Amino acid sequence: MNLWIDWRLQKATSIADLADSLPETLHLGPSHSCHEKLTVYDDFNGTIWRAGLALLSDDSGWLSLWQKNQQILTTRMPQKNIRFWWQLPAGDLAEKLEKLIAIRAFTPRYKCLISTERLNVLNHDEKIVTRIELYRLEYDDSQPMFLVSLLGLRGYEEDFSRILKSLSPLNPQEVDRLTLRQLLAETGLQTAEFSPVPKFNLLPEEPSEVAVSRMAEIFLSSARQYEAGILADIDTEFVHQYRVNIRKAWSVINQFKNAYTAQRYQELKTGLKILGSRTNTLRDLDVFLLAQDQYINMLPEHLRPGLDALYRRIKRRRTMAFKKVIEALDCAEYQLLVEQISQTLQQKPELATKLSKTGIRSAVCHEGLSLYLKISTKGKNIDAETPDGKIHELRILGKKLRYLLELFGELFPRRQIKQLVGDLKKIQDNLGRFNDYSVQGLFMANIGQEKNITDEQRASIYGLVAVLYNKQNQERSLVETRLAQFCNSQVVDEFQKLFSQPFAKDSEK
Amino acid sequence: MKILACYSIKGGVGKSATAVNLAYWAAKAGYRTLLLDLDSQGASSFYFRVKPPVQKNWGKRFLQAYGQIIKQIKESDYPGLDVIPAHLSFRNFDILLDELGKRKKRLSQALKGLKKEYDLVILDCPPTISRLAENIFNAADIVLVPVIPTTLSERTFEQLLKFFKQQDFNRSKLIPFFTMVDARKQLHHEIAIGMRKNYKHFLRNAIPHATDVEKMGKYRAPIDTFAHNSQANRAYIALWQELEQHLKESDQ
Repeated sequence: MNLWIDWRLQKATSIADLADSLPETLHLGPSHSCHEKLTVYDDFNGTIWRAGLALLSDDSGWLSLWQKNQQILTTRMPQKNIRFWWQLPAGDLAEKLEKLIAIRAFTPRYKCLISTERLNVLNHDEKIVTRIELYRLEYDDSQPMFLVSLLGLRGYEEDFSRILKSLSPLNPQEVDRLTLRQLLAETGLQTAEFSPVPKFNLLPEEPSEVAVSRMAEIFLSSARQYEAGILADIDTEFVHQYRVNIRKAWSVINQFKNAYTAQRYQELKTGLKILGSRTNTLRDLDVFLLAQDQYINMLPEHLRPGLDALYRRIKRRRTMAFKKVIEALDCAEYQLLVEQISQTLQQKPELATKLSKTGIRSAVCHEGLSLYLKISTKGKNIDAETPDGKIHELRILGKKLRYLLELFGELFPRRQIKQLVGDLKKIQDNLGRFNDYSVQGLFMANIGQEKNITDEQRASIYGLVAVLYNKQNQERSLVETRLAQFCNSQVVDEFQKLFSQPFAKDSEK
Repeated sequence: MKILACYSIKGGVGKSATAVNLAYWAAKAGYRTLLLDLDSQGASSFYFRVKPPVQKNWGKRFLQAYGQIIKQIKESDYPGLDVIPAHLSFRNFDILLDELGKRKKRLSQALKGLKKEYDLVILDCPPTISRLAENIFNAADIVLVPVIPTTLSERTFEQLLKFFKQQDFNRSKLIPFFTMVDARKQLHHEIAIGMRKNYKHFLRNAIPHATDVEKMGKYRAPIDTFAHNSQANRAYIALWQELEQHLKESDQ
């Protein structure tokens, strides 16, 4: 027999109500009350909650991490309104949050008041036979909610059964075990799964124009979810994810541009390019600021003070760039532009080109195979003497192929897609780092040429440029090996197999 | 799982008070603890407000099947601490043990099944030197003996030592400690010193003669719950800590 049960009660219930309902031979012992005003924190994606945890603070100024009913880590909040793990006192909780949400901010997502009455049901020997916890939950302006946990003691099963029976007039409804997380969920805390990769529900035979327009529209909507976070400057990921979604919208349209008439393609291209470019400077500066520790560690001690001064300069520049982004996003013109793009995507499909009518799966297969063959052909011609520009071209092709595999993945067997994305990732990571070091080096070199740069700062900047150049060369030396791995016969077979096979619904999906 | 028997040939030396308070502190220290009240007088069951089962011949069933023991486990008011209450039929244990086979190891076998559920089983034993006592000495890892520092108690402890020697029980299991000590009495002082000299396994900590121990009957609870700051409570804490060290050492 289960010796526990958790109930949601249909109406307001007091200790006296419980006492009156008990069988005659049993009675309630003294109660112990506890009232907690809780604030639940999480990042934008709900990462902490989805990891089975809850990050909470109460009025006492402590921040605690809970798992089920157990407080596993806690720390004092040095001040209100802190948002990042590195603002917390060094310790286990800060480390855990670093692992969980990294550069994301944790912000208050939900508030509620939980009042708990802990009670014991006693027999005539004053022996506890069942423990009761009566919860009163209040949130927002809604009516309080009442829940109760009953825990019978081993050896007192009969008493427990009698108690359950006697409380049945309270019309209880059984709920999942009332852990702290469950209590919060009962109060209506949003726990809906957030998926950073949206589902498109693609049909293999769907005309390409229809499928691609729908995907781009979904990406555009996803990007818009991040606008509020960008304007509030909660963390740098809002801008990043906004840009990723705009880029993906642009990528699907560009890869299938022949599915559109020239005029419609041009409309979309212009609009999406404008949206993407508005945040370019801010993102570049964010990347630079996020890498502060990494850059400092790259330099010898004597060159570090110059970099500190440079960072102060970059921070001021970031403030300016952020203001410009606000001006660009928080205005009627921006709203109009986004709506226009959205309307274009939702317009009736023209179906005016051959590709526009081709089933999306066939179109993806054709494009995918073509991209892979381009990469492997160009890849075979890469050697130590190949100019950097050619390497960058290859990187862009690789990125297109990766987007294609990931974005249209639902049309193909999951295991195969995973395998090929894994193969592609190895070369892409290498090419990506090669590009990053190149871009960062250029960024630094440009700053080095600005006015008002002191000799100390210039020494640090060029020190860093030299380190980045070395790192770029190291990555460059790996490109040939990685490419050879990616272009081997086994991977060729895999790609050909994936993109030439007829559609079959994958049992894994 | 370790088995700790609170045992003395002599009655009224505080076996049950010791069993109850040690069980309480063991559970508080995180040991999944079961207190088995083997004394038909049921003092420790009374302290924990747990009533004996209503079945007749429960004593016989107890010795026959582990499944029967499980059914009689009662959760105490304290987390991690369960109790098997005493039963009047336990007074016939010796007769029952004579009737059943494997006379000396019957208790040990009956308790074996509990090892998955508990880290520590504390036996509150009746004051008897008999077939049941032999079973207890076989089953227990430690036989904890409360000794009042008086001539009579000294004599009974020597009897116990002699019995262990005669029956070839492992004497290192025997761990005595002084209880009901009245520090103002010269006799208590002298006997304690003498006995410690003769028997090296005596625990360092001792339990004082205190009204708070007697009040356990009034409150029907371990001392900590009603006299947290009392000398007696502190003494039981220290006794438990010393004993815990013994339990850990016996693991190595």
